Amino acid sequence: MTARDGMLAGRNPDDLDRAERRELISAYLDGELPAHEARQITHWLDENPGALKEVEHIRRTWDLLEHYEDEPVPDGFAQRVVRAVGIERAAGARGRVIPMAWYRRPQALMSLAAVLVLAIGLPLVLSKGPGDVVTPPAVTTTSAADLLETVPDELLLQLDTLANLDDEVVDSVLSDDLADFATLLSDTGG
Amino acid sequence: MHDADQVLMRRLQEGDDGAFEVLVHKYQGLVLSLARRYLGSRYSGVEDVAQKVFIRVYRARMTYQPKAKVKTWLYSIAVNACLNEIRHLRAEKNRRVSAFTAVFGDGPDGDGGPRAFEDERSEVPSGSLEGEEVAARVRYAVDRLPEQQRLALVLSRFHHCSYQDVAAAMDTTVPAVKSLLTRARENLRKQLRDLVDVEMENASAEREGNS
Repeated sequence: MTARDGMLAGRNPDDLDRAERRELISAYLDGELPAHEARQITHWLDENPGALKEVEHIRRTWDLLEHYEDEPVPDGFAQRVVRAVGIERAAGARGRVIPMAWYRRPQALMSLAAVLVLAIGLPLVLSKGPGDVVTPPAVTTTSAADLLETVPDELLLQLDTLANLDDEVVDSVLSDDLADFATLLSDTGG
Repeated sequence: MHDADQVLMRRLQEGDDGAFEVLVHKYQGLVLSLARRYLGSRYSGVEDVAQKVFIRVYRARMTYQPKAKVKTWLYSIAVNACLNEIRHLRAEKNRRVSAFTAVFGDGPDGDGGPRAFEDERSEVPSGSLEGEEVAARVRYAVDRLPEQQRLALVLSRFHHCSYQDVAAAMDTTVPAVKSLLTRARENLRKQLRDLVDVEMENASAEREGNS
């Protein structure tokens, strides 16, 4: 049975128990009663000042919710969503699914990118002698999805793990507090 | 098929990603508003959750059936995303409390019990109540409602959904929605009684003054 099907079923509101009457009044205030039952309740309230006062109290409580104003949509929200889906679409076309957490933790991705640059670049620099000339790799333009395609699956798994770390852990990484980071990692079983 | 939203969904299913962009622009306010009020007015992860909702909409676009209203379908995805967020936060809180208790004995909340993300809920103001303070009291009262009651209230009161649509979004029945809204009203009434009493006294005094 729905509220629109009616709740009174031919009864007088006085015949209902307290819980039933409250549900009836709630549906009445929400405009969810069929017209004939709504009229019946209006008539019943006219003859019951006590009930009318209670209904008025409930109605005014509901009206107070007007004070719970909404906030404006953040600038650029739709663009960020469309961009995120674009990256996902490009990755999906290559058979890769981007974990949802990556979208929520851009700083984790940035940290990983920095680690990758250091991991690849540092040995290259250190392997050269003092007189050697280090030739920088050719700069190419590539999309995020193309970049993802080049990342080995094992590293993707580690990226996902990093993206799912606690805020405390990420904050620790960002603040370069390595000792604290190690403690947190061991606490979280990492 | 005459519904404009359903036409958009059909275009999206046929590969027109411009239709998705239109959908995001049209419903971003609705999704953000639902997440903000359901997850709590001070919760900082609302935008992330709203973004997740739209990514899920995109991923699930081929499963949409035209017999359902797009708005109701979107609500159900948004509700699920919010529920997942609440579960995640609760699990996270439990894990932190357990870790804390294992080391220090009692939990950081004193009782050691999980309290989900209540830290980020609104604070109740004290003193005289004017303007923004009334708004803060109302936000606090809504934030303190049990999850299911709060969700039913948000959909019904702020999003003007019918009982039928609330039931569809929450994957429950109309009688259950009716019961949730009745209890939400009762709880709000208890929490905001003093404000309503003052209003009713003022209204009564005004009536007497006019007569």
